[in-house]
Amino acid sequence: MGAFACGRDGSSEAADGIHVSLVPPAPTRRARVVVTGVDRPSLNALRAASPSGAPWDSLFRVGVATDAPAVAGRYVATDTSLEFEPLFPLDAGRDYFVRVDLKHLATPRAQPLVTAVVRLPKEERAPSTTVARILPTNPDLPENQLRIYIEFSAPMSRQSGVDFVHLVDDRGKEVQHAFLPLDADFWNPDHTRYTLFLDPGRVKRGILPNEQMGRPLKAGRAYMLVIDSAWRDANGLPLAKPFRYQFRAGAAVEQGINLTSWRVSPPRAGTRDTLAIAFPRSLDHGLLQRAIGVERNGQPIQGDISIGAAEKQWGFTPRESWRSGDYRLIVLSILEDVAGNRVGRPFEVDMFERVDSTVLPERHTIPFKIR
Amino acid sequence: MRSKLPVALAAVSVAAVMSLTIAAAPAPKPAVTKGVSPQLQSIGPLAIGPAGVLYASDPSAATIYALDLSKQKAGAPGTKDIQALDQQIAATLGTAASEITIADLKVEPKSKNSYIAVMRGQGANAAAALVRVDGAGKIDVISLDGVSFTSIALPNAPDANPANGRSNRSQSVTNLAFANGKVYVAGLSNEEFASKLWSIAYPFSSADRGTSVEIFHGNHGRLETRSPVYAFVPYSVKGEANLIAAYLCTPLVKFPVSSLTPGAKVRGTTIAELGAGNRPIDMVVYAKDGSEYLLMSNTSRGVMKIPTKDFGTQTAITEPVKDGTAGITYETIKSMTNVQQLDLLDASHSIIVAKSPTGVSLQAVALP
Repeated sequence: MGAFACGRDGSSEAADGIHVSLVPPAPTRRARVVVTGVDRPSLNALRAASPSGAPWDSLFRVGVATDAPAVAGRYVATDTSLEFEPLFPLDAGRDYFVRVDLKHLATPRAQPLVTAVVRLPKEERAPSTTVARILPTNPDLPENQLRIYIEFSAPMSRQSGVDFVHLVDDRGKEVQHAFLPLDADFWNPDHTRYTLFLDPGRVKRGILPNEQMGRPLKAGRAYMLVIDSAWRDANGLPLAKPFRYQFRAGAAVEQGINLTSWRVSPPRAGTRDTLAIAFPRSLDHGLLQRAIGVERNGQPIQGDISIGAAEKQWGFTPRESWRSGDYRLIVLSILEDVAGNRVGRPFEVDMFERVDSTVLPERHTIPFKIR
Repeated sequence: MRSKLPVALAAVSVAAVMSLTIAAAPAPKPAVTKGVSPQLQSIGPLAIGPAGVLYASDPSAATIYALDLSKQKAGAPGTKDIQALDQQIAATLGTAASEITIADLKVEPKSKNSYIAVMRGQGANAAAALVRVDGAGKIDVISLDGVSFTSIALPNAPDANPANGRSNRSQSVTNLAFANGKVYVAGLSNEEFASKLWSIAYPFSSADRGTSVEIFHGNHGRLETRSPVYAFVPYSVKGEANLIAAYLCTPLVKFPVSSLTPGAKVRGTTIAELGAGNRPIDMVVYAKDGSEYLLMSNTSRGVMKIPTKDFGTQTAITEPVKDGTAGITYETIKSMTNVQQLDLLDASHSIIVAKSPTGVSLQAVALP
């Protein structure tokens, strides 16, 4: 960390013995502004005043501009100085304008006004974050595709993707209102994956947006997902480059997931080989991570999940060797395919036949034997 | 040699052996915390309760905080108009307007001060801030140091393989309201597409984890879909407590609060269709000239004034809507444009945060 005291000309500002400096952040303390050279009786008088009793706003203030309101934080007098500790850490690279007007001291100074600009150094970096991949990996999507995940090589900012992602059809025309105009936080916890919802009002049949505009994707057409480089990463930098992803739209998938069509390939006992499940259609990549598990004697087995090509394969590698006997594959009812269809329950029709009795979902089980 | 995913070889069709069972899993333990000086990871929708309690959602932590602000020093009564609100708040937080997100605004009915939920920073170190604007136009950051709170964590997401540790799921909170002793929370997941609405009795208690319901709406004689509730407002229809809810797919739906029993699957009545390419932002109910109205701000269809007199009698929309809108009609308020936040200030004014070419402003506007 470099030195921080700087005036307009980059040097410490001093007038009448007053010195303004920026103390760099420490592991347990934020960067703070310190003003030294104020006489002891004035400091004592300020310390004796209640926090709101001292004329801080006119005496000593830090702002993002000369005419901006004071930055929130603690303005205090110590034994030796005036100090400002901000409520939120100061931004690196931003100018903060410090104003100390000593005519508001108990014993006013002859040259009362001192101004200084302080700034934390900002590490200069070149944009390096990129789009790592688009999920589903299958470039053949049903025309009622519900969501697309965008994975990044590094954490991104909190910005919503709606302003940065465009859907362009095979005639080069942007599909308007393709995505849900949402600014809700659709990032994963570490901000490396963004969920882009195709507007479900257009995807679903029989409701107004669908009747008015049709589905954003049309079977038989090709599309390009275009991601602007202006989307900022967690360091505030744009993406290193824009991203384009080509895919084709096919027939809508409107049936529920049918577990009887899954194929289970049990490994041999005594090995840690991967249990492989194959599905005839692509399932949702996000939900495949947590909606399927393995149990033995009612106890969950610990293991690592792998998702295979086109999200049509799910693999489970146990941490301990398989033992001979009966196991069960657990499939939570929240599992969806890429069009939002669930196990035995299509996206668009609900039989309304039963009521969930707990906050935990129902589960389906598929028994299998290890030999 | 065995490939990582040996799909075809030795595969066993599960058709013959599969069985379906429903497991009665034990309810998870409630997670109620009481303390002083809460540390919010993030801040989203707000709600105002009685006796100085402000409810604040922390979407990143999937937690709802009840903050006791009764001991806060009051600001000047009212909320004064502020031009360049985003810049003023950002400056107070020591940053630029481009670095903040205004997540919600609610007016405290007694003081008429506006409380604004703000995220400071866009990156990994983004922090939550609660800001108050008073009648003198003073912007104060409400320090949560020393503030008493209780909080309740929303139920964990289902996970069949928790040890895998690779869940990318997150839960955002899209709307919060307090009515009749209960906090209502609407949430959206970045993965499963389901409508989850929690009702949680306040004071939060370990004995009551709250109720989670799935809400459906009929749009069509044949089709019935699940869709997330995005915004809602508690409202009494013919003496019965209801929630008036707007869904992601734009219908306006009512359902009685009494239907929100634990684990219930609730069917809402669609009373209006509000069109495509749109998302509701905020809703308030007010009275004028002897009639009541719902005022709703939207992302792309302006502010709608919807008379509530027919909410009780409107026939449910069950047929596809071919063109325009359907059900209860509304009037678009042309004087209110680009409204990002909306709440009631008093009996005759709303407070809006609106975007204009010159910036984002906070202003009191006469109710239409």
